[in-house]
Amino acid sequence: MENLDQLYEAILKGNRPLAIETTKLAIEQKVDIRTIIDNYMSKAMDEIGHRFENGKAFVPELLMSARAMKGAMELLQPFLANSDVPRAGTVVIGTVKGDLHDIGKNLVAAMLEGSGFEVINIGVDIPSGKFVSSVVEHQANILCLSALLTTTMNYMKDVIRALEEAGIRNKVKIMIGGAPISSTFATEIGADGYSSNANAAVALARQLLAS
Amino acid sequence: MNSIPVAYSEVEVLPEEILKDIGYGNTAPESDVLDVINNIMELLRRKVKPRYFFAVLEGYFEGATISIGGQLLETGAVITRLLERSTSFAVFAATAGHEFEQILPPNKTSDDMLTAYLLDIAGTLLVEKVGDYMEKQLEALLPEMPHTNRFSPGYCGWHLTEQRKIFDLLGQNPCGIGLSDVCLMTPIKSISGIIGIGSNVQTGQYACCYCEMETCYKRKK
Ligand code: B12
Repeated sequence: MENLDQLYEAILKGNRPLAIETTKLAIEQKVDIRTIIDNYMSKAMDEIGHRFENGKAFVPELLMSARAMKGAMELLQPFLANSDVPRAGTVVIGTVKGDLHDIGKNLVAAMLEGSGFEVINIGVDIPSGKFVSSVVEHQANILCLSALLTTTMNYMKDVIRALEEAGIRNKVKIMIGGAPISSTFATEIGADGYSSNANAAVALARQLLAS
Repeated sequence: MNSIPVAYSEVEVLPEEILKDIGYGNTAPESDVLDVINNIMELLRRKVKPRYFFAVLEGYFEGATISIGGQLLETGAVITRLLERSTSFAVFAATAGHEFEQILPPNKTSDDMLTAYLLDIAGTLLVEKVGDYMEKQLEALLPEMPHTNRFSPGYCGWHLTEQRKIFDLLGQNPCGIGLSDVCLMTPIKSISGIIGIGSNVQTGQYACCYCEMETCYKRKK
């Protein structure tokens, strides 16, 4: 189908209506789902991520592409259930107890969603018990913790301890982030990874699930 | 309540400031981005009620600490040095206001993220502008009297929990700002701190050359 290049362009440009329209057409014409996703949609997301890393695109462009991608993915969802397309994974994300910072975490959530992950965003000020129960309930592969202050980041340790106590620490990868966090801190508290921005978070999530 | 309102027109956030903050230099954003920014401008003009408050108090240095109004502030080596020779201090809080929080998109799904993100940046710029405006009011109050930059707990080795002392000095809930047990201010778009005042203080200095916080956004400014 020749219009698929248009799908790539639509996602790259963050044009959601066009992305949806082209995807509908592709479905009608019975184009292989895997081809649509791998060769056009994901490629566009990779390219926008690449531009972001090189200072040629900024967060708004990332968000618009992610939104277009999500719109198109929603149409493909019903077909994905019975296909051999590997799922990206399920992510539970939240900001730790005491901390009300939202925006950084939501950016990470939007980018993961735009990259095909199923994301359960449980909000801000989340106690460890809620993280544990959400991971269990949604059978999450990845738990993302966010904190923006030095006074709240230590709570991430409590969350990890709670997962250990619940006996599910080894069932889920833990990614952490937020302004005061570093990879040293991540190693120190026994998290599986840290990234400094939402774009890099996607690569990290993929890498953690591949390992 | 200790709170002084600021007319929004005095601290208005401009589209080009938002774009610059995001990083757009030579590249232009997609037109959708500009549309959202223009909507935000309108919303801010109609709704927000920024506020600030400061109290000018005598203070003196006790080693590395500063005694102000009965509170001993442990401002840390870097900030204490930059406040050197101050004889009094403006203890302050400023906020974009609760009304700002109310205009945030209610459920921040990824569909609203562009608006949420741009508003978040606007809120940050707004509260910093309220801080600048507040400094002008301080200058009007004490003409000819030099003052330092603003310094805040949580920066350059001045521990975040020291905010409690600032809030004690300002009276409960200055500008309607609440301080939680982990020293998070609500509304989120709020700042607190002190400004040194004295005929021989260092004006306009920031501590980047002494500070190790590589990721700090005030760096190089
Ligand atoms: C903008 C800003 C402000 C603004 C807005 C605050 C806000 N949160 O909305 C204003 C001016 C109001 C402000 C105020 C204060 N701030 Co401030 N602020 C910042 C700044 C520059 C950027 C924060 C931000 O919004 N970034 C944009 C968002 C999108 O990024 P983000 O949340 O970090 O998220 C990204 C990544 O971190 C990552 N990420 C986030 N979560 C996750 C999770 C996972 C799993 C992963 C993988 C990645 C990830 O991806 C996100 C998207 O790319 C940081 C310094 C910095 N360079 O980060 C300081 C910073 C957070 N502030 C700091 C401080 C101290 C304060 C104040 C206490 C100062 C004061 N006394 O007035 C107050 C507190 C305010 C409050 N409500 O309590 C300190 C905190 C350190 C500490 N000591 O705890 C910092 C780190 C500055 C510093 N010292 O270098 N601040």
